[in-house]
Order: sequence, then structure tokens, then C-alpha cells
Amino acid sequence: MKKAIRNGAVFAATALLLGSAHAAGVKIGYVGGISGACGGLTHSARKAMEIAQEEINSAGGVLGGPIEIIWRDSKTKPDEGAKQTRDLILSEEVDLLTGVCSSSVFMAINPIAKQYEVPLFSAISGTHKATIDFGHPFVVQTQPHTLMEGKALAEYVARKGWNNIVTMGLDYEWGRTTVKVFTEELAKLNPDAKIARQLWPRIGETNLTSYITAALADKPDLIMAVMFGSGTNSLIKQGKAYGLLQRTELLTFLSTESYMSLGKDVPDGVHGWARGPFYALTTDAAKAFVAKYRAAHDGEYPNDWGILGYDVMYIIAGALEKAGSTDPAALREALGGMTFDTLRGEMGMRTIDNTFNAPSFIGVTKMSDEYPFPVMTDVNVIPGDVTLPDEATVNALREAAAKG
Amino acid sequence: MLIVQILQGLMEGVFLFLIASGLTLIFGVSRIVNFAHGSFYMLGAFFTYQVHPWIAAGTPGGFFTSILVCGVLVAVVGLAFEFFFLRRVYHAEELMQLVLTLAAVLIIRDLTKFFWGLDDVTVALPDDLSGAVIIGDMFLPTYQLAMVTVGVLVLVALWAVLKFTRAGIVLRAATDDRGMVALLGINQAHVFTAVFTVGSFLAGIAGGFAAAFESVNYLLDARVIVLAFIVVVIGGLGSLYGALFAALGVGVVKSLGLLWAPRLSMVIIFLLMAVVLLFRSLRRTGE
Repeated sequence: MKKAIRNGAVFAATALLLGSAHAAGVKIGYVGGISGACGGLTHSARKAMEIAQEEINSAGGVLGGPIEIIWRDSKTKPDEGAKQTRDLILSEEVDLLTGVCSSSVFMAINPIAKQYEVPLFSAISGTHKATIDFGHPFVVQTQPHTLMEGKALAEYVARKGWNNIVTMGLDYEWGRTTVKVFTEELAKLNPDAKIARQLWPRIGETNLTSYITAALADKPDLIMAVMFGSGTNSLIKQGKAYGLLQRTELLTFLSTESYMSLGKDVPDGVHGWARGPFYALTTDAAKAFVAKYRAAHDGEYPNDWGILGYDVMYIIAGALEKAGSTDPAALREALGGMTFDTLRGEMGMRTIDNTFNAPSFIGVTKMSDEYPFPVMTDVNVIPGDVTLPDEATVNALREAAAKG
Repeated sequence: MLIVQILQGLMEGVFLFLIASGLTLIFGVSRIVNFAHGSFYMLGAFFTYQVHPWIAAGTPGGFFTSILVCGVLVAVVGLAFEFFFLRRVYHAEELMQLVLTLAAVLIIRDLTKFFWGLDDVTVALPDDLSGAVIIGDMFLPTYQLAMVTVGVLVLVALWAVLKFTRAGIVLRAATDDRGMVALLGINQAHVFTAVFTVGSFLAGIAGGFAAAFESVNYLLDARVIVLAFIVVVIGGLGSLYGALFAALGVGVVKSLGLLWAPRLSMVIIFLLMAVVLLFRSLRRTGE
């Protein structure tokens, strides 16, 4: 399309050209928290998606044309995300949508994708409600959602034999849902386990000292912290002086940007879960991607969101190529029977809830000789097939949601 | 357990006071609602992040020096802002002043994004400060004790200046009756500039302390200004001692709230603010 304009096509023909150019290639709308609470996470997703875009386009693009991405900032606010999504659909006429951080924004834009029947590929935010409770044919989840993570975590905690647990969940969609699922799953696996206390810090709250003392007051075996970004960082940093890790175990969401910013402030022995830690990915494709990313960005390493962003681009491109068009129905049909070689290994989507069997990663931190920050060692890769809810659960949740 | 939470709340309260003291001081004298206070705090944090490796990194002495240096740097920024911009709108309506400080918030936020990016940053604590004083099963982190000490020092210094110096007398007079002070031939502009500079300095050092205490990013300004306003409003706008008691109260209410009503601890603080406001306005109207 750009080429057509650059070549100075006849003005009257431009409209025609626009139409035909749109038919070749694909226009993707990205809605994500480029600024706001998600800003520190998702810049890596954008960089990685641009690398994927460039690779795919230089190999001939998809559907006979290049991939174009329109970047929109939700400012990590649901209303802003909804506004941008509507604009992407109505003014930019995008073929499909991707991105999405945080879960609250995801929940806000999900019904819009449904209303306009525009496929929405979530690559970042974790709530399962968008694909299960309020699922519809046009929303796809390419990373482990809260039901899957909650189950993986419960399994890990049960295996470790931790019985007395304090939860600390960020007081919003993702934090609340993960704590709930974790608690329910753990009760099934280990009836002896009890939740001594539930604490709910708010997003953005960074003086967590009174949460730490309140949590330690119960002498728990484990503090399970469903937090991210500055919350996780502050918890680890402030917990140190209280001897948190000597007095209890800590399990928290630890995506790569947390180690990067904390550096040597991350003590050894924190249990963390992640969605795409680059150092734990062993495929050649992953290594090649990390090298390419670092070369393009001053030696910076991609964080988890970079890995997820890169993967979603190839999932989209692969599915479009097989579907042969951007038609949502054809796209969904194509997705159903495909497997993708992603950076996180081979994955595919199941059609009952449009969810990929994406793996979860759980490990223990240790200062690294190889990187300027600690990484997780003994990383357990828990395959999505183990954690995906069965069809009965999916149906039950959908029925409950339909009743309101 | 109760004592631990109360102590923890008090420690958090002293730090809140450190943040809010500058804001209330500025409002008391100049009636400026300085939205940029949180931004100066954030600048203090990022300056410290930038400067600390250059000043005897890893030692407590170097660490405190860099916080002090950054406090002064922020004070210079505050001084410049007051001198070149704020000063021009003292006589305009209050809305103009608000818009101007809000503009400073947006500009400082964007500059912070530009220079330091979107990622969280943090200052590694010197080893000597990262431990805790342990009494029984009570942990009093050394660094928080240091912050409390600084908070108390600031309080004592402000009290002494207000009580015993000529500048303090002028300040107290200006808080009570600006017109009268002007009639006495004291140049109000100088008073405002001085107070704004001191207020910015306090915000700057509080931010410097935060940089090593928590994870800092460009959104810090908004988080902090809300907290600071809650404290200042509960304490009574412009009242230094009011801010002190409000800060301690907010700290303790929050930490005790976590024990008994973990979901409501912030709600309780907002309720407290609402009640205080209601009570005051009733008293004012004499009903």
C-alpha cells in the first residue's frame, strides 16, 4: 500500500489500490499497555514482534503481501484499550488483533472482538475468563492462562509438601483469579494444606513491608505471591531485611525483567514461575532469536513477553497461510488442526476453548555466571496438556458465566 | 504480632511524613497545590539511581551522600520551576496554578521515560544497610530504621527553624496571613521561592530513599502524589504537625487493616479522609 502511494499512483486510482492492497498481506492491530503498569513488560514484546514481522515480510510475507502492524497503547487501562480496539477495527479496518496486557484490558476488549467478529490473539495477558467463561469463536489464547498456571502451581506446591500458606495476590483480575484457582486445585491435591491468610496489595503499591510482617506472623511454610513487575521486585527487595527467605519459602511470578532490574538483589532460592524465560529455552530457533534480538538492541536480552510476542506472530502467519485468507471462520478452522514450532517448543490449539497447550515454567533462582543477573535453575517445564482444564470444567464455567 | 504491625505502620508513617512534609509546607505558605511534588520525588529516585555508582558505591557513607546530593539537585529543579514559571501565576486564579504544576508532572514524566526508559530500576542497598535489628521474632530492618531517623531529623530541623529563627517566624506568619506579612515589607516572592526549594529538597531525598527501598519506574509520581495528598488532607492542608499525625495514623491503619480486613485497608484510609473532611467542613459552617 505504501509503495503504491510512494510511486505516485493516480489519485483517482488510490481508492482502488487501497482495496486491492488490503487483500494482499495482512493488517494486524496491536493493543497493549505500551505505557502504564504493563510498560516495563511489553516493550520487549514489541521489539520481538518487529523482528518477527521483518523476518516474515522478507521471506515473502503472508497471503501474497507484507504484514503490517498498527501499534496502539491501551495505557494499561480497560476503557482506553476498548477505545483503541474499536478504532483499530472501525477506522483502520485491521484483519486481526493481538497484544493485550493486562488481564483487565483483555476482558474489556474481548467483547468488542466478539461483536465485530475480528480474531483476537492474546499473547500476554493471563486471564482464562476471556477464552473460557466469556469465550467466543474469535478469541485465541497462545500462552498459559490462569487456570493452567494455577494448576501448575498447585501441583508444584503439593509436591514440595508446603502446608501452611499465605497468599499475596495483586488486587485485580489476574491476582484474584490465580489465587482462587490455586487454592481450589491445591485443596484437591493436598487436603492437609491450609491457607492461613490472604493478602491483597494493589497494583502500584510498592511499600510492602506491612504485608510482609503480616504474612510472616502466621509462620507460613510458603508465601505465594501472585504479583508482577514492581510489586514482585519490591517484595523481594524488602523481604530480604526480614529474613523472608530464611523464615519461609517464596513462590512468585518471576518473568525475566524482574531479574534484569533487580540484579544482585534477587537472592538465591526464590521459587518463581514464568511464561517464556529465554535462558531455559533450548531450541536452535530460540537461541538464534535471542542472538538476533541482542544484536538489534545493544546486547539487551528479551524478556518473557518478547518470547511470547515473537511466537504469536509466527502462529498468526502460519494460520493465515494455511487458511488462505483472513476470513475468521477459515482461520479458526485452520488453527484447529495445526501444530507450530514455537520458541517454547511444539504447540497447538484445541478448539473447545481456542487455547494453546503452552507450557509453564517453574524454577528456583540462582546467581548466574553467564548473565549479568540471576536466572532460574532446575526449571520444570510443565506442558500445557497437563494443565489445560477438561471439557466438563470448561462447560461448567461457561454455564455459570451465562447465568451471570 | 500486633506490636510488630503497629511498629511497621509507624515506620511506614514516618516515611509518609517525609514525603508529605514538603507538600504541606508549600501549600501552607503559598496556597499552591503542587501536583509536581510526586514528580520531584520521582526525580530524586532516578537521580539517585544515576548518581550513586559515582559516589563511593556500596558504602553507607557514599549512599547517603548521593541521596543528599540528589536532594540538592531536585531542589535546584524546584527552584528553577518556581522562579521561571510558578512565580508568574501567583496572582492568577488557582486553576492556572494547578494547570501549571500539572504540566510539570507531564513534562517530568515524559523526560523520565526519555532518559531512563519504561523498565523498573532500583538501587542496590549497601551491605551494611541491608540487614535488620532482631529483637525476639521481631525484625527491624536497618534501612527502615535509617529512614525513620532521617524522618525524625527532618521533623526536628523543621520544628527548630519554625520555632527559633527569623525565617521561621516569617513562615509561620505567612501561613497565617500572607497580606500582613507583605504589609510588613517582607518580600513574599523570596519566601515562596525558599519554601518551594525546601519542599522540593524534601521530596528529592524521600525519592532517593525510595530508590533503594522499592522498585522504581516512571509511574512513581502518580502513586506518591495520591498518598501524599491523603496525608496532607487528613492532617489539614498546610499543617506540618497535622501531616505528621496523619502520616503515622495512615501507616498504622493500613498495617493493622491488613491483619483484620486485608481487602479493606485502603478503603478505611479513604473513609478516614472523608470523615475528617466532613467533620472539618461542618465545623467551618458552624452547623
